[in-house]
Amino acid sequence: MHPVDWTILIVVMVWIVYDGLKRTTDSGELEGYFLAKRSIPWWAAGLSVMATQLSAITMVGTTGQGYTDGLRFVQMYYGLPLAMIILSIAFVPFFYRAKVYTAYEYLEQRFDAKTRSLTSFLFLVSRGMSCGVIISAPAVVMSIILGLDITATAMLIGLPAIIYTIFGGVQAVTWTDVKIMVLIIGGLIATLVTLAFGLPDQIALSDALNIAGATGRLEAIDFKWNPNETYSFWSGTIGGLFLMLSYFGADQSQVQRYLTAKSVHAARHSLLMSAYYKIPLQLLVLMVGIFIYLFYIFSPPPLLFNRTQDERLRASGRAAEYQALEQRFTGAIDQRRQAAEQLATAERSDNAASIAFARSGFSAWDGEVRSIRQTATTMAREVSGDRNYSDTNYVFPRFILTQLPIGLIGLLMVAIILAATDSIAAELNSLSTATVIDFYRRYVTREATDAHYLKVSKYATAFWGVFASLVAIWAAELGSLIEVVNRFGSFFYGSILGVFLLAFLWRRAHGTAAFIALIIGMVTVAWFAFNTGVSFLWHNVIGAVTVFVVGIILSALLPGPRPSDPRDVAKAA
Amino acid sequence: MTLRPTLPSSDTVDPPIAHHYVLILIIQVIVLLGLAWLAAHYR
Repeated sequence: MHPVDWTILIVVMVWIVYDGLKRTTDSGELEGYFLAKRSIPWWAAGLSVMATQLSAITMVGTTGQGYTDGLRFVQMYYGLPLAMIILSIAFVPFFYRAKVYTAYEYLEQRFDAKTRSLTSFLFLVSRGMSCGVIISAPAVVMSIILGLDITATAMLIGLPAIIYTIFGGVQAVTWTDVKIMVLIIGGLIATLVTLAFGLPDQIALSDALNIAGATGRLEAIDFKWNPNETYSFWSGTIGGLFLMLSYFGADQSQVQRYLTAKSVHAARHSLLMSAYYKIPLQLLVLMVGIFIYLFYIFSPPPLLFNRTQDERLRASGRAAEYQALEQRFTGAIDQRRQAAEQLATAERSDNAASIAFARSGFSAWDGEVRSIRQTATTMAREVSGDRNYSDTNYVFPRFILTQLPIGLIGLLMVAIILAATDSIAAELNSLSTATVIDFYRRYVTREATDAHYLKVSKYATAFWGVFASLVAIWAAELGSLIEVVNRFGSFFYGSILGVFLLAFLWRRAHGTAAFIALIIGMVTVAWFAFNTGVSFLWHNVIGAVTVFVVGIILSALLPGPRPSDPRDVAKAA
Repeated sequence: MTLRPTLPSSDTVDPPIAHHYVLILIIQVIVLLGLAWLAAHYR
């Protein structure tokens, strides 16, 4: 990277941390530190909700998805708007008026201590691990792109988050999220505009879309019913609905974002912001990927976007095979470009026969390019021993570094790094909250001053920061761990949602029934995960429905404490 | 020690919000129709 870009990267990072800390007030009290004394405007809480979900994995992985597969990935979010409406109606008022710091605290008011502790414990384990993955996944990519050591890159991503979360609490996290979201959206729009204006003179925007459409990259709706397929309308609408309900309604890292809002109305508004803008934002990210694909039709792409893998293959015993593949690739790229130009000309002629002929020619050469890239990726996996290696993740960073003007490179690189940083900060903040409120204050020291709990909270944040960093370094060495963590998390995500649904919707439900139902739900999901090919999106549906139904049956069959009305819990608090 | 977070006084009245729910669902339908048109037009 050019020194100007390095300067931009460092200045922006320092300014983000400094300004986040400067805006922090009232963090000398527990309520200020964890909930900003409920003073955050709805739009800031809303941007924070969106920023927490948009990590560097989204920036790098989703643009890569757009490059290889087009818009189909967006289907995962079709259930999100309805999920936000349901949460806004059914969840937000209960959480807000129950005056809780954590979502799980509500479960003790409604059910019992063991249900609260188990759900909070599951949150701590899964989020603690996933926090490591949020650092390691982009650290692996960015270390290669920036030419830095992986530990140094992990520290560049994680350290600012640890610092401003420890000292600034939730206010620093929220106001930093706001600035980072502006930076990310601005950077993505600037990239898309640069790409659109960078098309060759003879290729109009409609020609470019015709070319993308010919490869199926503009197909964003697949109505085929197949529960094994993650990216379909039904999996996204039904499975995605339950995933988003779980994530935004039963996960402290999200619940805490909107608990900081000024009122129930403001908390609802902050959630609805995602309902309005999440799908357009995902479309923007994917469109950047599609336009990078179009860019590389008219400008030769590298065979592998990861330079380290490229160099490793050239130095390996399979160098001759790789060079031969590269020659084939160069020829196919040239043929594909000519076929794309012919397709654009044919589309303008309006002659159906010549359009069909040009389209089949282009599709054939595009298939050939894809197949050669696939062979190169397989070779990279075999030579490096990393069986999960995906070259897709390197498309966007490599494009930024080699094709964009100085200045924009620095801004986009810092946007990717900060996308990871802000997600980590929100996770650390919520991990610390759950540790202190659900365990330390509940089981260790019940009566102490705010100053005491604040000190413990800061230690807890530091502990989770170190834990996440260690997991990150470990995960970077064991690529498959990421898959394990994601799979592990999906076992109980939907099941925890089931407990909350039971709490809000079934008056007769009691703690013992909810606790046993939660365990049965997780076992059921694990069985489906290991014995069927059902997409992980459906795991959330299976978990939530199992816990809800089993909870209702057990509440009727088992003796339990007198059930408490969820509305009474909120009123009594 | 702050046992329970406090509720600000502004929380006493909930202004209507149902129109947002309707608007979000309408926009969702428009977005889906737009995406279907995009795929059909540039096939």
